[in-house]
Amino acid sequence: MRLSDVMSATELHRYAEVALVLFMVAFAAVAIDVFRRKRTLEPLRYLPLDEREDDQ
Amino acid sequence: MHAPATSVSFDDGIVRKFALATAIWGAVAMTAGLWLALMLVVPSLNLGLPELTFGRLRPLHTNAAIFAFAGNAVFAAVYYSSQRLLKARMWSDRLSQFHFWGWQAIIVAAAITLPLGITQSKEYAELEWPIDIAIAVVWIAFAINFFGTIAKRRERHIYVAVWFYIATIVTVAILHVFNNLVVPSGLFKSYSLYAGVQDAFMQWWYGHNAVAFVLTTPFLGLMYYFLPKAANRPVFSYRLSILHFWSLVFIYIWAGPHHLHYTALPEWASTLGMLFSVMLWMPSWGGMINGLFTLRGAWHKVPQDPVLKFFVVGITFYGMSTFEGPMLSIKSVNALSHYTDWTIAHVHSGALGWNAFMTFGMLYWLAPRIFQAPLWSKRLAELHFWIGSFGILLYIVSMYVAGVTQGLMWRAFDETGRLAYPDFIETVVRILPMYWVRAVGGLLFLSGVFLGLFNLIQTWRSRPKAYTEPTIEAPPLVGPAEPGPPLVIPRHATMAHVAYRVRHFAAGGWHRAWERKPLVFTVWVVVAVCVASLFEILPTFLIRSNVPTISSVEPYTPLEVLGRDLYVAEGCYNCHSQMVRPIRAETERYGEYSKPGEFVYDRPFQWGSRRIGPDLHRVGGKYPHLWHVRHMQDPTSTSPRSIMPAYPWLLTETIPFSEVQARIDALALLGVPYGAAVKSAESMARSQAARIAAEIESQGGPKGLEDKQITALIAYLQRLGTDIRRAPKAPASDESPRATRSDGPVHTATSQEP
Repeated sequence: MRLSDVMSATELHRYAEVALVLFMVAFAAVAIDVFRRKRTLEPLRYLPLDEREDDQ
Repeated sequence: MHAPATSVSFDDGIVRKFALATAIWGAVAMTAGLWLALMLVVPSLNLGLPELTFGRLRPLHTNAAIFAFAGNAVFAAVYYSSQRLLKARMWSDRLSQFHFWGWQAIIVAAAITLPLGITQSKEYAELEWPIDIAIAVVWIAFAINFFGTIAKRRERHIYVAVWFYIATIVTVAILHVFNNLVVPSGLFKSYSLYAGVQDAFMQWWYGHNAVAFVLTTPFLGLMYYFLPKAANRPVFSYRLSILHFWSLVFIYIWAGPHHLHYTALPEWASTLGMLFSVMLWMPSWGGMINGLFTLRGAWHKVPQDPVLKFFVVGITFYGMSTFEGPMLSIKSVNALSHYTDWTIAHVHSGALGWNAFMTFGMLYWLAPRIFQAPLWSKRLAELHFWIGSFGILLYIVSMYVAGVTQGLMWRAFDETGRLAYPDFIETVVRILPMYWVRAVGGLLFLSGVFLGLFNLIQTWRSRPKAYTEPTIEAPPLVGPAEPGPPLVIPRHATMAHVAYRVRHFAAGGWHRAWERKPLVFTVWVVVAVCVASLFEILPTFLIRSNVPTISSVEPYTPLEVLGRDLYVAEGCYNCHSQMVRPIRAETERYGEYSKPGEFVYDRPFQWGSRRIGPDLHRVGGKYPHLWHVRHMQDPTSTSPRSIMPAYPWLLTETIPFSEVQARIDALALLGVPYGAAVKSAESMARSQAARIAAEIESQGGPKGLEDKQITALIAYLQRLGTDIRRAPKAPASDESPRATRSDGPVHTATSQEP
C-alpha cells in the first residue's frame, strides 16, 4: 500500500463541503454575537489614538 | 511594578524613503500599464523593439504595480505604524536601510531583466532565481527587523494592524520559497521543480495568495491604523477584527484553484477552490464593515478631507472586489469569464480602487507628518481623488463590457449548431472600442497619480532644514505578561462546566493572551497557513489519478526545448492560453480538450490566464511551417486586423545551440527521461533545425533559417497538442527513443484563421 493509494482512498474533497457548512454556521453565530452584545469600551481599539507624540 | 518612562524616538527617515519610492514607482508602473493598454489598439507602439513587446512589458507592469508600488506602500505603512503601535524604534536602523535599498535594487533588476526576456513566465513570480534569492535575503532582513522591534516593544498588546503585518511577513516567505523552487541551467535560466498540473496548482496557490498577503492583509493593517488616525475614531469592533483576521488567513490559502476551473486540474481541487473562495467573501466583508463602521460619528468629515475620501472609496472597492471575486470563483460564472477582460476589470477594481486609493490616502495623511510641512495643496489632492475615481470607473466598466462580450461571442452558436464567430479575430475587433475607453480611463488615473506625485514633491520641498525626530515617553515592559481573566466555575453551577469553558473561550481571553505573546501568535499564523496549504498540496502531489499517464506523450526534443524557452522568454502566455477546456464551444473552436497527462514535461506550465489571442494548445500541425514564419514576421499578413506585434528579430537572432546541453541536463536532473539527448543535445537540435529550415525553403520561404530562433519556435509550436494523436512508441531496448522523433505530424494546411 503506497501513500498515493491511501491519499486516493481518503476522498478528501468531500470534507470541503462539510467545512463550508461548519464555517458558515460558526461565522454567522459569532457575527450575530458581535452585533447583539452591548459593546463596552475595549481599550485596545484605542491603541492608534493613544500616541503621546503630538499629531498635526 | 512599573519602570520609569524613558524616551523612545522613531525613525521616520525610513518612512520618508519608502513613501517617496511608492509615489515614484507608482507613476512608473502605471505609465507602463497605460503603454500596454495603448499597444493593444496601436501594436506599433512597441517601436519595433523586442524589449517593448506586450509579452515582455506586461510582467514589468504587474511586478511594478504589486512589488514596487504596493510593496513600498506596505513598507511605509509598516515602518510608520509599527513603531508607534509598539512604542519602539525599529530594532535596527541599518537593517531598515538594507531593506529599503535592497528592495529598490530588486525592482531595478526586474526592470532590466524582464524586458530582456529573462523570465520564468509564471505570473507575479517571473523573476529568475538570482533575483528570487535576493528577495529572500531582503525579506529575511525585514522580518528580523520587524520581529526584533516587537521583541523590544513598550506596548504589551499587539494591535490588530500588527497581526496583519505578521501574517504578511511569514506567509509571503512561505509562498515565495515554495513557488520558486527551480533547477538553474545558467545564470539567467532555470526550470521549475514542478511540471504541468502540479506547477499550475503551485503557481496559483502562490498567485492568489500573493493577492492575499501582499495586496490584502498588509493593506488591512494599513486600514486599521491610518483610518482611525485620519478619522480620529477607534476601530468599530475588536471581536470582528479577531473573527475576520483568522478566517481570512486560513481560508485565503485554499482559494488558488479558482484560477484553474475547467482546466486539466483535477475536479476535486477546482471544487475545493470554489467553495473556499465563496467562503472568503465573509471574512473579507468583515474587514470592510469594520473599516466603514469606524467612520460612525465621523462621516461629516469626509466631504472636507481628501484622505478620508480616498479611504472610503478604497474600502468600498475592497468590498466590491471581494464580493465579485467569490462570484467569479463559481464554476458556471467562471466558464464565461475565464480568459476574458472581466478578469482584468476585477483585478483593476481591486488594484486601483483598493490598493492604490488606500495608498494615496495614506500618503496624503503621512506627507505633512513625515516631511513636517503642511500638504502643499489640498485642492490638488481633491482633484486627484475625483480624476482617479472617474478613471477607475471608465477602466472597469469598459473591461466588464469587453469581457462579457468576449465570453458570449466565444460560446455563441448559430442556428445550424456551428460557432457563430469561428474566426477568433472577430472577437478581438469587436472589443477594440472598449480598449480605447480603458486607455482613456487609465490616462485619467495616471494623471491623478502625477498630480499626487507633484503634490508630494512640493510638500517635501517645503520641509524644514532639519527634521525633528519624533519621540515619546514610555516605560519599558517589566515582567511577564499579565494572565487573562481566569476561568471561574461557580460552586453551584447553573449550567454544565463545559458551558462555562465555552463562554470563557468566547470572551476572547485566549486571544488577548496571544496578543501579549507575539511568538505564540506568529506560530499559530504559520500553523494556520501551513495546514491549509498542505491539505490542498499533498493530495495534488500524491494522488496518482490526478495526472493519468498518456503513453504517447514524450519529452520535448532539444530543439523544441529551445523553442519553448523562446516562447517563455517572449511572454507569449500573456496573450495566448494553452488549455482547451471541456466546453463544447472550445472543442469546436480548438479541438480536443486538454488532458492533464499532456503537460507532464511542461516546465513551467504555460496554460495562461488570458486570450487576447487564440488558445494554442492544439496549434501543432494546423498550419505549415511557412505560415508561422509569415505570422511572426507580420501577423497581419496571415491574420488581417490582428493586434499581435511583429517579431521580425526571430528571423535574424540565432538559436543558442551552445546552451541546449545545459538545459537538457537540468531537465534530466528533474526527472525528464531524455536518454540519448543527455549526450548529444546540440547535434540533435541542429539536425532537427536543418530539416525544418529545408521544409520552410521548399514551401517557398526564406533560406538560411537553420540557425535562426524562428526555427526553434516553429519546432515547439508544431509539437503542441500533437502527442495524443500519435501511437505510443514501443519500449526502448538499449537506445532511448526519446528526443529522436521527427519534426512533427504532417500538417493540414488551412486558410482558416485561428
